[in-house]
Amino acid sequence: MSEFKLPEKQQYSLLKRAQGKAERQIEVYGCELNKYIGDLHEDDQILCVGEDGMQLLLSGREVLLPNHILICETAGDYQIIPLKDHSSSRWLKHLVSIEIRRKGL
Amino acid sequence: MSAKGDGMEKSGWIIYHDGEISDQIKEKEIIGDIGQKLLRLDELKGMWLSYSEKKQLVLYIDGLGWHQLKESLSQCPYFSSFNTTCALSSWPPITNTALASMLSGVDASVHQIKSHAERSLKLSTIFDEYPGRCVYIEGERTILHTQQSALLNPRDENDSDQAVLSCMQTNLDHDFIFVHIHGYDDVCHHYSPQSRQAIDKLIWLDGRLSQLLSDVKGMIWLISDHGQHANENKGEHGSFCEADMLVPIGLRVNENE
Repeated sequence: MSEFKLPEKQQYSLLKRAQGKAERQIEVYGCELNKYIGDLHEDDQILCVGEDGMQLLLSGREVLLPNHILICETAGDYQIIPLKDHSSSRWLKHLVSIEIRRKGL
Repeated sequence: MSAKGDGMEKSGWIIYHDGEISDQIKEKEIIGDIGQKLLRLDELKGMWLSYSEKKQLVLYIDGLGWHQLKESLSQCPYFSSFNTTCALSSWPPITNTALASMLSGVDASVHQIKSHAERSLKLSTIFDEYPGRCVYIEGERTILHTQQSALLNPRDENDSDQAVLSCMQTNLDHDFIFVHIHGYDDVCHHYSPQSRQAIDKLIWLDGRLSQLLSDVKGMIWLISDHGQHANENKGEHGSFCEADMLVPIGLRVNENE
């Protein structure tokens, strides 16, 4: 299991609507992904990889939006949560790595 | 044993299938407007392989049900130019299962991808068997593990299609181009499939694809994985109902290849 040192972890209340189930409110703890990464440019791409090999490629432009993409932790298990994704289809669970792709590097 | 899907029966369609609504739907008889056996998504792979001497481009519009397309066709001149028929989605009608059926050419009872959590497709896919250069263009995330890596494309804030369509444009020199377009499904989930926003998104796609593909020769397929039904001003799918289960399969041949 990978460990990510999250700065200023806080609680977020989210509405989650799994397929075929009623919408419900949940609490998660984490921080904005751009604050975790720190040095991030609009043209960067951020490749997040889950334990099962699944990949989520985000644009720097989207990650830099305020209150938009979170990295959250529960009992040592990390996940990427786009805040506006009510159906949670974009959530990446069991995060193992984050790679920044920058043009020219 | 035969059972009937309630949603289908209500709207005048009856699909008899083996057993309960579970692993496998093998339709025996369909009563409705079409009066013929419906194509299934797992039949696409064989069709693509049988035309492999031609260049083929697959436009896979996630979440586009048969009725959703039919109701918007008068406003979508490019999609109207396809020779389109009604097909049956996979069971359950969700992206992972349907995509696995399209790529592997077998149904869920064989590939065993029956939920969003199951993602490892351990069978030979169209990309492994196609006798030419293939490219698989995805949105921002991998849907299934396949031997052929998908080219991922991050969304631009809320729009997932611009980057996918740009990637398609730069890969049009391949022999088999498989493009998974997600934005319409996202809009349907958010606003419902009958919403003005969903119709506008389809009209936008119609115009954009028409522009981008005007000079492309070969066979262009228009397919989808599942439809959606409205629920409390949102859209959802995964049920055994006509809105979710019926999808279009369209083909347009641009001559002078």
